[in-house]
Amino acid sequence: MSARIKESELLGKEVTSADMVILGLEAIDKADATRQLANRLVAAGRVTNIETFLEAVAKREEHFPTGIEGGIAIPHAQSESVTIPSVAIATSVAGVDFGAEDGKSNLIFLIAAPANGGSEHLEILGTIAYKVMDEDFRNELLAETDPAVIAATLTREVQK
Amino acid sequence: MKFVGVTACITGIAHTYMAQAALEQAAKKLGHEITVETQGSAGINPMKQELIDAADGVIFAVDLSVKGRERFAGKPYIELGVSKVIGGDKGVNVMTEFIAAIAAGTAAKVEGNKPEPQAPAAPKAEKPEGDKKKGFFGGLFG
Repeated sequence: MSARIKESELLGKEVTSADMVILGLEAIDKADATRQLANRLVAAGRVTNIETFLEAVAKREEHFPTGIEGGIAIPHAQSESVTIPSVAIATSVAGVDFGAEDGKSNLIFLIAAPANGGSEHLEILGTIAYKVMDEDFRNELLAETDPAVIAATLTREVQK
Repeated sequence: MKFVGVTACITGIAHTYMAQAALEQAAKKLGHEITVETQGSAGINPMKQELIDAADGVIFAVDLSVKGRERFAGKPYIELGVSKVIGGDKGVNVMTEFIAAIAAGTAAKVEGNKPEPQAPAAPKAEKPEGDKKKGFFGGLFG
């Protein structure tokens, strides 16, 4: 059960923090947006190899773009480069084209899952994906101007 | 009406759970009930067979094949990719169309026969099932 213990140790880490939040993101396209967010994950010590990770995200996007009606995008990947299950968040006034049917995405969640993450890890990320579908929750995030509050709002949800 | 659903996407990280939310929202909006089983990378917590048995219809929002599909045998169903229920009014539209198909008797039924539990001779017998929550998939997903 040592794997279990290790898992719960990792669970002590929040899925995101203020330094993984980008307010007013400006990006030329989704690859640029994803890279900017991934850079935050690297800086936070949650992704070890940005190229490997971005490749996995791009591959996932190729399968089907992650832009969703309602101004959301949730690029994501499971990769060996990910050390801790994490989410980087960006708000963008101009929006970024993630292939949503109704236009650009103003709220972007980059979800990073470790390749060998235990089910509890992945549940946390699943909870975030679930919550993203809640319009009130999205509006709460979009209206916020403090990265720390955005991070706390997201963390609060997964720890319910 | 009562529905059950299964959601599953390729990576099992995000869309599985977004589709779950979308189906639950659609049911709520239309005044129906739905229980969704997510078959994602976080594992599967199989829903109780009683829920399936009591359901008027089954919605498979999946990009992969449904695990334990035989549990739903004989039930009216609709099957489509996760992206077909996520976003805007998609979930509501899918459910509305499905309800119409059930009412018209045109909805397809899940093929096969439901696996009989231990005692086929005693249907509806009160089995001392205890809390075999993981019964169906064994201990596959601890």
